[in-house]
Amino acid sequence: MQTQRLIFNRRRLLFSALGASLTPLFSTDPAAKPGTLIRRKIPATGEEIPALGMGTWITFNVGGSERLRRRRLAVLRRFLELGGGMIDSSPMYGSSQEVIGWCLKRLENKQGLFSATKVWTPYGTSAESQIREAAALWAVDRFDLMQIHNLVDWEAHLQTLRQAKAEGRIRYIGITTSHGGRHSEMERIMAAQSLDFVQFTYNILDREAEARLLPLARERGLGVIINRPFQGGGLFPLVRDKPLPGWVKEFDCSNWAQFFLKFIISHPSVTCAIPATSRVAHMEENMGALRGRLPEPKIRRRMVRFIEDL
Amino acid sequence: MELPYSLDVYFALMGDYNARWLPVVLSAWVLAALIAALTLRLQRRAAKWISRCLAGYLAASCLWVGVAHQLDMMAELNFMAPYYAAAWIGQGVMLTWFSLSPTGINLGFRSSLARTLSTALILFALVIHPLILLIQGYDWTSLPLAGTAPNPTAILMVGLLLALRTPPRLLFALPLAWAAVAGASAYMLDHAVDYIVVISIVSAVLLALFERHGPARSW
Ligand SMILES: NC(=O)c1ccc[n+]([C@@H]2O[C@H](COP(=O)([O-])OP(=O)(O)OC[C@H]3O[C@@H](n4cnc5c(N)ncnc54)[C@H](OP(=O)(O)O)[C@@H]3O)[C@@H](O)[C@H]2O)c1
Repeated sequence: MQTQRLIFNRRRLLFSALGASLTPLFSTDPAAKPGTLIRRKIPATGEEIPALGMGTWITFNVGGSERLRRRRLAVLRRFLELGGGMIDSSPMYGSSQEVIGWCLKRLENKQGLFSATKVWTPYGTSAESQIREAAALWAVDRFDLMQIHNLVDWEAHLQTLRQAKAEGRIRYIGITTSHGGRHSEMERIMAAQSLDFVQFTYNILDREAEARLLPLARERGLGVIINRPFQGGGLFPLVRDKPLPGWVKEFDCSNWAQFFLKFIISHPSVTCAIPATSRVAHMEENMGALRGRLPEPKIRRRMVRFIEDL
Repeated sequence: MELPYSLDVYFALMGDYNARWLPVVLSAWVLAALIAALTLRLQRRAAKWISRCLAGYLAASCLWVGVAHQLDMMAELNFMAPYYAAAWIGQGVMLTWFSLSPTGINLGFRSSLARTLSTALILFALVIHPLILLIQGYDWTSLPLAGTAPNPTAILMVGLLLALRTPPRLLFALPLAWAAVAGASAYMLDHAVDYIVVISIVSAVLLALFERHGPARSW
């Protein structure tokens, strides 16, 4: 999703905008038919991206081990083959960015890649060097999305990011958190600043964002990226050895990972969820959520009740 | 809170580290065993050269852990590693000073409890810690060993420091801080054996710092 993606097909845009306005929010989404990928519009531009991306916290931090890098390469290849788009990383994630760059160099087909990373250190001036370093590590000319990690020194970083956006070195800017305690600050920034994306935690157990952040993002026309969709993996022990209830067929769900992910991407304010995995088999399970119908509001409520009753 | 890497990745990289530095890793372990044996057996003669060797060996292994393990291997995984490296290097510099200074440090267990704990900790660092990891299913090629990896080196260090008549208190700061790091890692990585690391270090430090100062026994 680099330069060529900026050349929009006006007719396609017009049709998809018309489609979106006539389409109710949930399972009747025309993209959600079996076989077609579920995509979401970035509110700032109308550009569409797949509703599932990939996180790289822990999973891609494998250092210089060639053996482990090859395994991550297989995960990344499968992700892109199955229609994945956004890859999210950060300078805080150890060697993850270097490993992503190593993998990307070895992939013949990188079509669909939406590169997203962050600036992190608490010194505003170093955001510039982090952007440059990240571009060198990923081996990309520019980033699709640059975010401010955990709101660290956001005022200073935002200026640097805006400058980089104006110079065409990044396409979108955003802010992130994964701490409920920072939601009020995030809300203030979302209300007052001009941003393209926000990233925070939302999953079937942690639904704090439903109250304010998700509605505010919709109101402000912000793209929403959901981190920790599996609560850092903590959702799976809850359902270990539990069979899926029969009614999940109503939204084409065949495993627990898809149950959790479809819950998230069926929320009307969500643009993209970014589960992380180090395994090809898990990637295949997860990416299955990018196809088929999505749960309607009534079923979403049933999903919540089901998990809460466990 | 989570660490930015997984246990699997840590042990995979330990395997690469051991393979890369194999001669150093093996000789550091053998030297550690030799110095520990001399320290425990030759206490009666309390030879000055043994205490110099002990401090010199610990200095070299702290510097090695700081530079090769933390800075070279761990820094790419963990943004905290450079800070840990600085602490290990600082400890290495202090120990170098003690090994070279004219007064230096003197061998001499202060009590039979100190002797027993010292022996147990040295045995644990050199043999039992790697054995537990082997039993847990980790490959022998990826075992963290005393002298070149931080956890067993920290345990070995407090074990050997217990064999000193008046161990300088400052030398316990790093092992104690490392016990906190090991405890946090044990919790975040769900790796129970690291809790034993914490217990070992803390009990040795408590004994060394708060044991009643009777007349020093130097045999
Ligand atoms: N402030 C921030 O900016 C911020 C904070 C937190 C996270 N994030 C981003 O969000 C991403 C996602 O969050 P996260 O990594 O913390 O947690 P997550 O995606 O909720 O969970 C990841 C865990 O789930 C497991 N998993 C994945 N698919 C699975 C499947 N199908 N079956 C069973 N287990 C599965 C993974 O283990 P396996 O490897 O074994 O599959 C991994 O341990 C991060 O990687 C990062 O990019 C950003």
